[in-house]
Amino acid sequence: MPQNKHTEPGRILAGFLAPHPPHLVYGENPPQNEPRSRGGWEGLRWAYDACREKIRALKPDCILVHSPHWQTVVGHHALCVPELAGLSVDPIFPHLFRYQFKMKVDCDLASSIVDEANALGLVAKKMTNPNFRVDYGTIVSLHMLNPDWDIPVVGLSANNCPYFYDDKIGQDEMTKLGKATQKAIAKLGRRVVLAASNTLSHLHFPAEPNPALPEDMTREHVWSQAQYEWDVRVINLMREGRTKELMAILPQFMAESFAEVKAGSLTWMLSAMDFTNIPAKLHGYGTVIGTGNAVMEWDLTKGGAHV
Amino acid sequence: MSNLKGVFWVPGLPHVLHASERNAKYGELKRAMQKISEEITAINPKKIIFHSTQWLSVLATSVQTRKHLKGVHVDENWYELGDLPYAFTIDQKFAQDLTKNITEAGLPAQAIDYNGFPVDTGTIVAQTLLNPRNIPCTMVSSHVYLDHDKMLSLGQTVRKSIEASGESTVVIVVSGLSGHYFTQTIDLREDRIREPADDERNHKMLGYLVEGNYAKVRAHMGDYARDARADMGFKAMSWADGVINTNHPAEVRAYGPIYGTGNAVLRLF
Repeated sequence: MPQNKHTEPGRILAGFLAPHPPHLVYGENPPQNEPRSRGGWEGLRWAYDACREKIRALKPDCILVHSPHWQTVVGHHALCVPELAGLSVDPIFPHLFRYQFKMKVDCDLASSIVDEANALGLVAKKMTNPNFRVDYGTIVSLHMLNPDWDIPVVGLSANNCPYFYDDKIGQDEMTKLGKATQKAIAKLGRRVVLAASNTLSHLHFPAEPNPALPEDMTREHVWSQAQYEWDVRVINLMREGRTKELMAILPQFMAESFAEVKAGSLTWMLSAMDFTNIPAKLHGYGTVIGTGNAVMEWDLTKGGAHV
Repeated sequence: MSNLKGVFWVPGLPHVLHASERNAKYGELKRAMQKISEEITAINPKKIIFHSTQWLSVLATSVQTRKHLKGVHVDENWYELGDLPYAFTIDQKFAQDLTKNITEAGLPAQAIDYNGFPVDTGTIVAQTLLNPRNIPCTMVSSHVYLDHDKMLSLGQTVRKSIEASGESTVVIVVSGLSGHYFTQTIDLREDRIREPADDERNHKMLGYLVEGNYAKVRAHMGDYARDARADMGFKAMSWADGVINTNHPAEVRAYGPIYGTGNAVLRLF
C-alpha cells in the first residue's frame, strides 16, 4: 500500500508546458549527451532557466511528465521501475541526441495513478520491465526542467486514442487521466509538478536546412505565418487564463497546424489542474525546424478559480 | 539471372515470438515464418534486406550501416511479453552503396551508424525467426513522408542496387495488413480480426496478390489502406512492388489476427 509522505493531502504545485525537441539538449552540451554543438536555440533553452529556478524553490516530491513519444496502443502506461538507466538515442535525430539517462521513479505514485485510472474506466498499466528504454521526449523535458535529476519522476505514455478515434474521444480520455492523476497525488500526499511534453504547431521542414551545422540559426524560422499566428493565439489564451476558450479551439488548432497537443499531454495536465484559469507565464517561445514551441508555467501556489 | 532470390512479407508483432503457444493462429504464423527460415537457408543468400514499418524516419529514408548491432530491446507496448535480444551483422558496403543510390535517384537518404541506435521490434522479430544464422543484412526505414509513388520508386532503386551488387539477396518486408487494434485488454486465446469487414478486405487484397495482379493491388490500395486502417497506409506493399517489379503471384503461407490486426506470411517472389 503506497504511503503518504505528508499528513496533508497532496497537491499540484505547478504545471509546465515543456516541449521536447532534442535540439535543446544538443544546444546545451550537457555531459550526458554525446554529440557536441556550438549552441543554438538559446531563446528556448534559456526559457527553461526560469522553470529550473521555480522547481528548485518549490522542492517538489516528484515531477510527472506525459510524453507523446511513448505511444501506447492499449491504454495509458506509467513507468514503474525504481530506477531506470541506459542510453537513449533519438531515432529521428541520432546525430543530436545520444543521452545516458538515469532516473529514479516514484513507483508508489505511478501505481496509484494506474489504479485511479482503472477505477475511472480507463485501461492503465504499470511498466515494470527494468530493461525499458525511456523515450527521448520524456528525457528531454525532464532534463530541461531539472538537469540534476535529483527529484523522482513519473513518466506517462501517450495512448494512441486521439489518432485512432476522433479528437473528442481522445481528449476525453486524457481528461480522465488528468483526474486520475490528481486523485492519486491527493491520496498519496505528494507535492508535485506536472510537465506536458508538447510542442505547439508541428508542421516542420522536410529536411534539416543545414546538415553540416544543425545549429545554424540563420536557417531557423517559423514554418508559416499561419502556424505562427496560431501559436500566438493559443499562447495568449494561456497567458490570460482563458482555459475554457483554449479547450474549445484546440480541435481546430490541431487540424490546421498539426499541433502536437493532439497527443494529449496538455489536456492531461490542464485536467489534473482542474482547467485552472490562473494565467500562465510565458518564459519563452521559439521554433525548432519550423515547429512552434513555448515554455510556460502555471504556478498553482498562487491560488485561482477553476473553469 | 536475377540476384533477387526471394521476397517475403511477415508480421512484426512480438506475439508470434513470445506468445505463440497462447493462440493457435499465432502458432501458425510462427511456423510459417520458421518455414521461410528453412527456405532462406536453402537459398543461402549473401545478404538480406529488411524493410519494417516499425522503423519510422522523418527526415529521409534511413539505411543501417553500422557493422554490428547487439543488445536487448523492450517493446514500448508489449513489454509484458518479454525482452527481445538481438544481434545483427550489417553488410556495410551494400548499405553504403544503397544509401548513395537512393540519393542519386532523387530521394532523401541517410546512413545510420550510431552505437545504441534503437532497432525496432518488427525487424528483431523477423531476424529471430527468419535469420537465426545472422546472414549479413541491412535495414531500410519506413520514411513517413514518402507517398506510394515514391515508395514504389524507392523499391525499384533497392532492386537496381541488388542487381548491381552481383550478390544473391533475399528481401523481407515486415508489416501487418489491417490495423484496427483492440484498445482494451483481451485474452490472447480469444484474439480475432477486430472488424469483420477487415477480414474481407484483407482477403480481397490477398486475392489480388495471389493472382499476381499488381494493377489491381495499386488500384485498390488507397481504399484498402483507408478502410482497413492498414499498417503504415500499406506503403510497404508499394515498396515491395517496386522491388519485385513484375506481376508475380504470391503464396499465402499463413493468415491470422494479432491483437485485432490482420497479418499474413507471404512469399511475394
